[in-house]
Amino acid sequence: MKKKNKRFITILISMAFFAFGCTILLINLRENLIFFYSPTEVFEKQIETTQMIRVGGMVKDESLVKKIKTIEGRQLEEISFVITDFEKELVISYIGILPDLFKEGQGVVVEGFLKNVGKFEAKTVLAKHDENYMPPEINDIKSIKDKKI
Amino acid sequence: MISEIGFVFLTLTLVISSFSFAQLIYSHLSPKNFTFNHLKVTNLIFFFTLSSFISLTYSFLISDFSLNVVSQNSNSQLPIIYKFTGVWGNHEGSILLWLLVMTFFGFLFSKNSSATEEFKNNVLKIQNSLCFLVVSFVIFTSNPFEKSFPYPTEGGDLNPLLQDPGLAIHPPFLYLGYVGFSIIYSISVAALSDGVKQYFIKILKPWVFISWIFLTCGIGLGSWWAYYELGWGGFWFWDPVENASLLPWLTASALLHTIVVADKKKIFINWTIILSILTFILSLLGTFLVRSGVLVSVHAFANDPTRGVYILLLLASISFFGIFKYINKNIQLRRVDITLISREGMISLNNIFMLSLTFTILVGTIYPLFASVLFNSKISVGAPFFNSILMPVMFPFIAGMIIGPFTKWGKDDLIVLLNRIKILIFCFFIISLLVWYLNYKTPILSIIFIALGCWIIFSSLFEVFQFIDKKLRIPKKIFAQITAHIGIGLLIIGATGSSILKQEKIQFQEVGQSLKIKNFDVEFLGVKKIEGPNYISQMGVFSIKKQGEQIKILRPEKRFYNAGKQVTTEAAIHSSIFGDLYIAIGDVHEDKTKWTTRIWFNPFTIWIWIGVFFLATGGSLSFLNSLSRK
Repeated sequence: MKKKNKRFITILISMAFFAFGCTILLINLRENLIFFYSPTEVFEKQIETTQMIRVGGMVKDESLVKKIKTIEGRQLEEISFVITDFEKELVISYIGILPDLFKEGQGVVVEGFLKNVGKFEAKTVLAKHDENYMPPEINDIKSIKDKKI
Repeated sequence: MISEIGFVFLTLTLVISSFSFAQLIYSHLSPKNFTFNHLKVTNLIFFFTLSSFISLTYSFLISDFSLNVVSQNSNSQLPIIYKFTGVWGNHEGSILLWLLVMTFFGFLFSKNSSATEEFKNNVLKIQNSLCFLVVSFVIFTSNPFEKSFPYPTEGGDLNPLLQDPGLAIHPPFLYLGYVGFSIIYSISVAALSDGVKQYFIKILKPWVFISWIFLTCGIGLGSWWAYYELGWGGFWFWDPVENASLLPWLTASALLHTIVVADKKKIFINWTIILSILTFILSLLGTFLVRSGVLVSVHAFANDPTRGVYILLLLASISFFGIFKYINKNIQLRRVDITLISREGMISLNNIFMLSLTFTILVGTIYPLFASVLFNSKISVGAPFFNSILMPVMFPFIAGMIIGPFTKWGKDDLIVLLNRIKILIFCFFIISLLVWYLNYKTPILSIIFIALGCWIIFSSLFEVFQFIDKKLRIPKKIFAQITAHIGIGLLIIGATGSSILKQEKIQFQEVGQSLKIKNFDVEFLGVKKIEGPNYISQMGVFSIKKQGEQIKILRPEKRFYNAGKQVTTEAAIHSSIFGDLYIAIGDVHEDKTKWTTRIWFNPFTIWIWIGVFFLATGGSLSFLNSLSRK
């Protein structure tokens, strides 16, 4: 009987630990989710400027502009381009080296913060390994789907 | 002509392996069993698959553009080495390689002399059935011998990112690891219906080690490739595809520890079987995630969703079979009580942490998938999730890793144990002060982790010291464990340095302009135009100076590949034991005198690769040891 009790307590304690671990896991998960929006959704939804989000769409043709900016005495190149879902457009600014497969007229996903209306500051432009690859998120944006068909 | 022969061989593999599959199904439906020699099937399907693979390789080498895979992934300008590696640089070829490795493991097992004929036959029955499932996947959804007519006279291009020696050898290693777990699955499941004679642990052991070594090298090579080829200055991004390879690695590492106890103490037998099955399931899950394209990943290649459905069915049926067999097992095992402060207890603790890590990473990786199906919301889980959840788990994990090797089998006492390692604890105190003194300006977290890394290395060295002190020879098993643990210590130091302590500068750099990073002066000398065999490259020339003295010229490149009209970045790296100076070059400004340059200083990165080498060496020593003790 005593042995049985001991096992019961062990199981109970392990369960408690597991539940505790899962709670921490889920809380952490909720805090670190990065939501994906299409340009239209960016305009429709209230998005905090402190929240990191992903935005995806097609890079508008001839929208790529490079400007020189001086920050902390260093010259930097600020890249900006427009992404569109053929309904709304969003201006993306980015400082860094664009991924090798970045092209106008192709799909792209950027990660960063929404500044003010219609302006987005990208921290990362997500690269892809294959020029034929289209991120599924972009493929799912309805207006882009319609346009392609 | 050769390619037709290749397809015939592949079909023969399907037909012959179906015998094994049919017998497996029949043996579960009917109590009357007939005997069937699965060894012959194993040998035949291995040679047929090998011939088929050779035919495909030959088609790539002679640039037979009538084959779709060749015309899409290779061209006549391609250097011969990349024509060869192009065989697995595409979906169809890589799955054929997967099949080849699977049949090869079966073949190797059939030559294994220690198992009884009956047990061998049972294992191979399962292994051949797995091969049957994979070969049907190859033929019906991703046939590498598919032709088109009329065919192009010139091919497309092998994805330029893949035209690199690091990536060329990375998939075969990864597959040898992933697929090596198939034989572990087969042995464990066969053992379940065999009443689990204890000797199966001895048969299983070398396969666990060898697969683990290959998977470790595969992951190491993959992140090394990402580090220097992608030009992002990092080696690990918590990307779903990367996580997918880490999951089976973690459970395999848990298995590695458990099987030692299972072999020595004849306990944890059930647990060994569960881990074996789980590891193979996670390998398949990894393949599913990589190949189906259901997850948004920076590593995603173009792929086909119908294949995903097939792999999912494969995954489900193999998991179901494993679980079914486990529930219907006939094993009588004695129960033993384990105290925490003992070698067995510490290894259980290791397993609990390894599995917690696996579970956490699994949730983080597939949660977006559930969210998109259930809530129709598109989300991804960022790197901060993994970092914030893993860090707290690391502390008890490392503590266990340090104390574990000093505990005794059976039962140990905490006070006696601490007394035994009191010199070590004193050394930890000194090391921590030293690390803090050397890095006091850096973030506290980096000091903690570097100190912990040093603790692990030092405690491993202390083990060596103990043996020398008692004038004993170090047993091979212990030596392997020490080597692998030092590897983990180095890995922690390297990963901390190249993540928390990383310094980055991005700017327009004029020709002749010099920049300071860490204690290096980086002078931009200009850009040269270079013509490679199948690309044109713009090569930046940077002079690296330290205290006014030139120590190295670095040449990062931006390559333009003619055939596919694609651009790749080739970073240039100056490595030293203290850190890597890492330069990538971007685009030129309109006035043609300024270039975007991105310069990193990544402290201790080299220790990551050295750590992986130590891990692989430790694994190899264990492997050799498990072979010689038969």
